[in-house]
Amino acid sequence: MIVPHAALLATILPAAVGLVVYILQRYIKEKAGWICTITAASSVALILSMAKPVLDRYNNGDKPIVYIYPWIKPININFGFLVDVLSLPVSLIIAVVSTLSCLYSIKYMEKEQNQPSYYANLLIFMTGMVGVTFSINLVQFYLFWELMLIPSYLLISQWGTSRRRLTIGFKYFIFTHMGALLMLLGILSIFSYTMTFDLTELPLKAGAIPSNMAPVIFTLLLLGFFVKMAAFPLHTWLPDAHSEAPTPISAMLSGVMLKCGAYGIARILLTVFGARMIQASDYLLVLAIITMVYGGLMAMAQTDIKRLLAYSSISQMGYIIFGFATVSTLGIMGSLLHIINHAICKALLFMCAGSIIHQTGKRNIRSMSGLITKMPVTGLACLIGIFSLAGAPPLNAFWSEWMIFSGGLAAGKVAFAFIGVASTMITAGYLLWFAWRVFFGPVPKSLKNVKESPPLLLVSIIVLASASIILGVWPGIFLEFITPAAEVLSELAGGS
Amino acid sequence: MLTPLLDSLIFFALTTPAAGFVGRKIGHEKTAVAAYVTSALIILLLFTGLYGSGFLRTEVTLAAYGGPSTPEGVSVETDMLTAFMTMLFLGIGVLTSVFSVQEIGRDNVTGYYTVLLGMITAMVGVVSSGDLFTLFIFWEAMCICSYTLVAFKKGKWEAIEASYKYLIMSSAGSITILFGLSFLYGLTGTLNITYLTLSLANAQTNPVTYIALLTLMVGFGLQAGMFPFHTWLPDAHMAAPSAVSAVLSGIMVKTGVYGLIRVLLTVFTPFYGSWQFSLALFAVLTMFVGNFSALLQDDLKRLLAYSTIANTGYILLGVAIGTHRALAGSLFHVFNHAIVKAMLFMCAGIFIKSARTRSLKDLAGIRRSMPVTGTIFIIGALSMTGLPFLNIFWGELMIIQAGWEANLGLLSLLMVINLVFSAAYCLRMIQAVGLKRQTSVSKKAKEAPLLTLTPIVVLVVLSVVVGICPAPFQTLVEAVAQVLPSV
Amino acid sequence: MAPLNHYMVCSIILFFIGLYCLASKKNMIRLLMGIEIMINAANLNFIAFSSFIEEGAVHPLGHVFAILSIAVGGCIIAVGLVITIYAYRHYGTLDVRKLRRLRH
Repeated sequence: MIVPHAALLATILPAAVGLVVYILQRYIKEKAGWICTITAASSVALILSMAKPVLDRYNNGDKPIVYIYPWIKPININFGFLVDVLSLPVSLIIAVVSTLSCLYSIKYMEKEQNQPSYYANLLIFMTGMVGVTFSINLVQFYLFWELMLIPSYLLISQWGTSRRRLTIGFKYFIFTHMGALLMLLGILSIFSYTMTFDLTELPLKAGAIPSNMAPVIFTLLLLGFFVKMAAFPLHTWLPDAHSEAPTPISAMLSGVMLKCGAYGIARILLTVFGARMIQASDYLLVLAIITMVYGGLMAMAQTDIKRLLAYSSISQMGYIIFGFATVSTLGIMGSLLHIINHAICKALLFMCAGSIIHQTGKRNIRSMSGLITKMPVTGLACLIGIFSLAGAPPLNAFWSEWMIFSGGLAAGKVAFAFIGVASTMITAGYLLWFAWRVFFGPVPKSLKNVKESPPLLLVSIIVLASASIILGVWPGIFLEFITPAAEVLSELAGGS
Repeated sequence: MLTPLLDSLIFFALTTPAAGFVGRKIGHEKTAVAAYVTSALIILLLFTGLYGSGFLRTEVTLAAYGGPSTPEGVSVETDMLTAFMTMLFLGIGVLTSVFSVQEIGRDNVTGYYTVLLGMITAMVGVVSSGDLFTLFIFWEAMCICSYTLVAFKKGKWEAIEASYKYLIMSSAGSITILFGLSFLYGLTGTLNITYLTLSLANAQTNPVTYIALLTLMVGFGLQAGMFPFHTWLPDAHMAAPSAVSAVLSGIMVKTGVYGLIRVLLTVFTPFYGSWQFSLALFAVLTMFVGNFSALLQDDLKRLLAYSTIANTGYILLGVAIGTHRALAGSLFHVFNHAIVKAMLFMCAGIFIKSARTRSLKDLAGIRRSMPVTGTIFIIGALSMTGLPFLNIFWGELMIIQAGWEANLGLLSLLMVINLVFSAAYCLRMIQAVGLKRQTSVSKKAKEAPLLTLTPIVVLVVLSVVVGICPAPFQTLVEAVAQVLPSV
Repeated sequence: MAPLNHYMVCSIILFFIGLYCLASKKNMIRLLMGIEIMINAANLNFIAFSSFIEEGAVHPLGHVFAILSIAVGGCIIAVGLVITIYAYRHYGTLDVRKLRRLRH
């Protein structure tokens, strides 16, 4: 049983409510947080309601669920939503993390100015991300891609924490906008050869792209996605932006916004430019490893708790790129699963960091120690996130990391896979060191009076931590979607 | 007799002083004149709508007035392009006229409105001329009105100075057009656009043709703000009253673009190969210069003026690419830019009137004291950035797309690079108006009265509507572009 | 009668004299005179062409254009002089170099 227009509602509802909240801010005030959390949760429910039908359709060999609304006749663009085994899990995790961030904000942001407008931006940001995953054509993909830029920019530069927030927001905007425009250039040039923007038709028409232009278009699109994912040479905006944003927004940025770039690689590059992907495989693997190692090493050098997590995100994006770059079923499956697992773990870690900052008022790791005795719940949840990201079984990220590197072996890239596995040591290193410095050891005098966070902050943290454990024990919940998706993708890409 | 529309416009312009006289008698001069001008423009706008849709329905592309068109005849001819531009001019004219009520002080209201209406009349005349000499006469009328309007605050040094600079440069430009016309006349013995096209298509290649081409490009390009003839534009737009800046930047610059489209794409179509490269080069340079200069400005109105120059570059790039889709994109961008730039200048006018400064530094954080204007300004700036679900994006999309289709991917790439720069200065405006801490100046600012807010609200609604459902507008510009021969 | 080319060369020279005047002179009135010279170059062109378009007859259109453009030129100069007067009242000089405050 699907709600009619479920995908449209799931996408548009948050933005619509966000606008209403913004316009009526004078009358809503304090209630804005709750209204927005409920809205975001209903979006989650709508997406969940489509899960079963999508799976059934796939198993029966039917076409995925497609909603089409006529939009621009002259250039033949429809406003449409494509709900299949690939887009559903990604959009679900986006919606879930957004909802939890929204819930988390109620307590975390309670002393801030302009709350209704904060929540309005958060919801529009969510619409942008969900819209990207459900888009059926490339123009719509680009539109939502840019739509998530505006609110996230405003969130960073208006509710940012330091004095440099305007400069950082500026940098973030310009970087992302530049990437997006390059992507637009690629999208338009695809259209000029295939005469379609439709993602369901494009894989069949990919042959129309002349072989001398395909690498150019591939590179343009890849640049667009890599800027969003903050792959190595294009990463400089990320640590600033993610550490600057208010914590719930950092959780969204790091947890799910980066994944839109990964989703773009899966959705567009693997389906349309599979052959190029295989050609470029080695270069991309090198880039992935550089990104992993660089992110990890930089994370070790950080003393700011949020900057550390931001660099860790860069490193983790390296894992996802690695999986896709192997172009093997197992690697792609691992990357798709890692999109979900990293979203959960990184959102969890950011929220724990937020909880620490909220209670202690400090961000510097050097001034913290022994916090697990003072904040047991936060500490435990944080440790779960840390062990999961470090790849300890039976927590969720173990499965996806394992798959990513097995994918490397399956594709015959043995050397790369070994280097990749070796570099996970760095990940484990900085994460454990972080845990050691913050949570263990003697409690310094300045932290004597610290208390555990209020329950409202802990709800989101507990939900994410338990999700991490549940998905670690039963990884099959998401694999049911991701396995077929990875099979379809690797078949289209022509990989092993 | 010209077209009924032009006749009534001239009539209304000439009788505006009478409305002023009546208004003075009853003691509400300002209100009376503004109401008179606005209602006249609204009526005419409705008529244009009807007659534009007539063109759409019957697929008559050209209608001549004042007798059949002959080589010797001096005529007024209208087609879809005329109807399109006229609608734009009258639409922005109505909103400016409403907006001006607060902007203009007590002195010489009647004079202001007479000249404003005269300028709009002349612009409509420019786009409905069937021959280039009529076009030139209306062109001069338009220019003279605009010199007067720029110098309207005649007590201020910058108004005088800008107006003088503008007068010298712009008259040099229009005389360059006249000089070019004299050569065209010498080559063919006519200035009627239809006959000119026919005789030039058969003419042998003659060096004089190229002189005419060059002079016309320079002359029209000067009015459009094309590099390197753009230096008058920031001064004039800065010094003029904000309502006038909205007209100058929103629509008057577009008459230059119109002139280029008419001349290059109708008369000089056979010479496409010879002007395409230079126009593309000019267009690219114009974008770069406009965007870079805009990045360096602290004066809000100067910044907006440089942004106009950059946008002229985008429009000219579409003309230079010259395919059907590129032309449609250019015309769409003309439409969108007129809406957004008029809106931004009006918002700037409200800020400046209330805070009495044009410096971005002093205007910082003014959104908090003027929430409606500030929010609208931010939406306008976001649209200027080319962000989706706002109108300007679609025109730019069409131009970039056309570049790819015509195998001129390099031009598309250059335009995309420029869009990043334009995003940078738009962000500066957004930061200054919306995000920075309030200064002592901006704290004192007060929200404008409802009457002044009406035009910008109308424009912002239009901008969002076009952004969300561009289909009908796209159909319209495609139909308009159909009129012109594409390459 | 002198061949057409002579007239054309003459008018082009006149045009450039006008441009040179605009570029080099400092006096506001002289700049306006430069504009007037340019207008006259165009007018000369119209008149010259009108005698050559048809063999042995004068093409009337050129004369119409010339007369109208003289009128238009008059209007431009009139507005220019008005602005010059205001500038003179304000600055007390006709030197265009003094009007450089906008350049920043």
